[in-house]
Amino acid sequence: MSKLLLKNVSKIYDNEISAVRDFNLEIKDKEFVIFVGPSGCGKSTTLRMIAGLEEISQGELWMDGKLINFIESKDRNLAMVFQNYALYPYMTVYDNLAFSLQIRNVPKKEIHKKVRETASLLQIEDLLWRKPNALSGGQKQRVAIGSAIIRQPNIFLMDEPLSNLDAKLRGQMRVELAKLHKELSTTIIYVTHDQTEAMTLGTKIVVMKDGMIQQIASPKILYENPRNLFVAGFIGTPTMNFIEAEVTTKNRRLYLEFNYKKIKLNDILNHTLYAKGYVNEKVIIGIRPNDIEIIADKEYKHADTFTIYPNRREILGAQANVYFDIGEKNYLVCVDTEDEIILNEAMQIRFNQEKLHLFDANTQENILYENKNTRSSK
Amino acid sequence: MEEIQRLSPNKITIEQLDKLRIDMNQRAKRRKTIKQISLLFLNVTVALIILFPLFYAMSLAIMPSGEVFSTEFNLIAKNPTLENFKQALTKIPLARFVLNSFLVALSITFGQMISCSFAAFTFSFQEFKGKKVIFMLVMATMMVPGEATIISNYLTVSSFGWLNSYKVLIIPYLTSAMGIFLFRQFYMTFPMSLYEAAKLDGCSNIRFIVRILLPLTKSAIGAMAVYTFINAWNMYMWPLLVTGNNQMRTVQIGISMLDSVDSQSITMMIAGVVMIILPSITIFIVGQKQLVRGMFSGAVKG
Amino acid sequence: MMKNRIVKFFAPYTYLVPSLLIFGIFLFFPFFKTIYLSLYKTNKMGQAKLFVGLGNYMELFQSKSFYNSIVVTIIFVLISVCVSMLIGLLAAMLCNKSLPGIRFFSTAYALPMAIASSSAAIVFKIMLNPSVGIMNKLLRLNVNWINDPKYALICVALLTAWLNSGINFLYFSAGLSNIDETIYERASVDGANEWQKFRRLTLPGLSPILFYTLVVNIIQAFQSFGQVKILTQGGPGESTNLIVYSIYRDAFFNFRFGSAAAQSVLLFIIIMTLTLLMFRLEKRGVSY
Repeated sequence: MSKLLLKNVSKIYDNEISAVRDFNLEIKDKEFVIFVGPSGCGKSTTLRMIAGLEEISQGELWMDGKLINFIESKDRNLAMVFQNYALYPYMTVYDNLAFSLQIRNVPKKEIHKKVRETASLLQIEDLLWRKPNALSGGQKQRVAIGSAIIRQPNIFLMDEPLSNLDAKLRGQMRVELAKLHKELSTTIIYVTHDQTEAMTLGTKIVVMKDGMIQQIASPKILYENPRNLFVAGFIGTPTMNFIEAEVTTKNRRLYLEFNYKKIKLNDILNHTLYAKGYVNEKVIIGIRPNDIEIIADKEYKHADTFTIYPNRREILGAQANVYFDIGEKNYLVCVDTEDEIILNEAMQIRFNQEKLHLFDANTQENILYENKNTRSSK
Repeated sequence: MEEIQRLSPNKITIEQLDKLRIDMNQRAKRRKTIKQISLLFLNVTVALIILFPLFYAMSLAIMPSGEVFSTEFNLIAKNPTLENFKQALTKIPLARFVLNSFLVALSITFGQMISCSFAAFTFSFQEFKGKKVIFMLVMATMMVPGEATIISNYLTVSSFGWLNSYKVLIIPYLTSAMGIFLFRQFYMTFPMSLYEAAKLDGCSNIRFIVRILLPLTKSAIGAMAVYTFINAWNMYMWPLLVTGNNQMRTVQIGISMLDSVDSQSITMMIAGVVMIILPSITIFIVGQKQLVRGMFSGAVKG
Repeated sequence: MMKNRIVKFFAPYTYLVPSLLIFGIFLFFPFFKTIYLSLYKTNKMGQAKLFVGLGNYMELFQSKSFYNSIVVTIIFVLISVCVSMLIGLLAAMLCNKSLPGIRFFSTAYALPMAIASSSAAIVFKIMLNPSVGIMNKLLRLNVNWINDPKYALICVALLTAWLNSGINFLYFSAGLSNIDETIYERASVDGANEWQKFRRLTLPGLSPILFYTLVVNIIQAFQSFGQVKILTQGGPGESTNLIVYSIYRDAFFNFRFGSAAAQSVLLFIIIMTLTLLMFRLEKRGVSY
């Protein structure tokens, strides 16, 4: 129901360690925004600054055209779901849900109606007279979400709400959260360290590392067009393969050379690398395990294929993971389980060059980033 | 202020924004400082009120008696002197009282540690007939206030001919239900296998208590020791009944015997009070951390 | 073989001997002796001479002085418990946030628990002295605090409140630190102000310890003696004749050991009831 704008927001602690640096983000109405990153990346701190639980050291926080840096959190009209749920232990579920309305002196009748509605939405009607102690993790989770949505706040903040649940329940709640977002059609800011959660829930994902935004984009763009090595490695399962290589030239064609292997690049890559001046430079190849083709014909050899020796296979179902070494490092390719793979015997593979990523070995930026990406937000 | 806040982020000029930000920053800082200072101020006020009697006692103790009896406002000594302390040490057998109290309090503390840890050991690591009943009985003693049995106890010890002796001050206090409870609470957190392993290694029960339980329960022992010592040092009703001469009086009785508000004794008495408060305060301050940790880890859980 | 088994059987009991011996001689025996004495008239040596059944109790219930001592004790308990708990709670609330000098403050607030009732009573006696004491000088009053029946009881009660406030502070501090910090954060985001947080979160969060502290305080207050003995000697009149002091006076001044024993039994019954009440309610869980 609200627009939020963060402009150059930073959090600097007394000991001059900065937890968040220069955070810029515009959140539109009804967006499901996810802050994702490894622990300590500043995602929770940012959320807590939006909630007003942490002071903003620098920068501006605007809500609907109002500067709210110094508005106390109780006056910001937000609702937050905490990682440990933070249910009021000595109140019943009913009172937990009703609390934010009770303190606003909403008439009892109306409170009653809203509690009933919320409880039925989350299917916790049977639990209304229990105390939080007597609830399971999933039930606590629902109560926490219920007490957040009952007030119809401007924005929902959720701080790793699913991390205390077991894997199965987490999957289930993920689906329900997505449904809830549709039903409530409201803005949600959601913090998680789990990229799967981020990819499945978010409409806009903010990837963070060391207090800095790495990339802001939709799940699809993040996956297809990561801005740098970190985002590429963080997003997507199984993880992207990275191979250190050198761009070499022969007869005006460019090749990627690594560990005595050499693959010829297609025209687009050829052109781009020339244009960007990467000839004879070090780069890092990024290729997702799904984007590696296996050449069935074992005798087939071509300038863009090379030989590997698979050393391990894991069957996951219809798909299988096959591992192989290049130099000292272990790599992964996803194959169909039906494909015939003989361990420790030579086989030919080819990188799908349409989906190949190349990163600058020094800056770790995606060399191909701007080329393809025009839609991603700033 | 409100009006500027309503400006949209796109229309606001840089000067306006800077001014606004500096303004708000200062306000927020001021609000925070005011909060901190008022909290500090409240703390100082309450602490002063609570410490006031002690402060007043200190002040009187170093005041010449002439100053005490003036009608002027005399909270702080104008001509501080140590004369009162000198008098208290020479005119009344304060040293003897202190010696008695130390002896009694230390014996009680030491004795309680031993008897309580023994009893707690047997309650938590041994199986025997009537264990539950005996434990309930021990716990039930907490319900009997010492004041309710004091008459019979007095009659008993006087029939023993124990009046005016150290033993009458010490022996009745050599155990405590609360101590047993607290120690047991701690011992119960250790697994039975700890005891069984020690037994297999050929460890005797006494050795197990001294070598294994004691070091593991340092914090409980520290808490109990501080608590017991202070209580023993501060004991009043029992010593009042069972001691009749200066040879055996403890500090609390000795000092309050001087209690008569005339010019000679008032400052001396206060000097005495200050001197006998100091040991218990010192022990309390030194042992406070232990005491708090021990008291609340075992006995009381929110 | 046989000997071994006997040793094994008795070994656990030997560790109980010191404690049980002391409890036996100085607790169980006098406890029953007190009940026994309460049924007799005694001589001046405290020896039971004439069986009177419940006579001592009947006399007590017909005596104005005893009723007075009960009433005075109840008023005293009410004032001292309320005040000392309020001081303890206030101090614990003030000392709960990070603050410069917090260690000093917490020591200051807990300190009264280290002070003997008798020592404190001596200091208060001089503080409250009408001509010499600082109290009248500070308040610019001319009140004879201790010798005025209107004020004497309040003075003794406040002294007791001061003495017990230290341990109450510790109890409440422990209770406060047990409350999860994030529920306050949630309440802030939910829109609660400081008062609402105190009333809806802090007080219920303290309720288990609040109740425990309340009962412990009441029991403590019932047993007050030193401060009465030194400050007022039960006077003026009988306005501060608390029950323990009344026991003491009956036994050691009037040598009516039987009557004193009967009062002791009543004191025991009061305290036992309170303790059982506490255990009962604690089991049922007053908290959550």
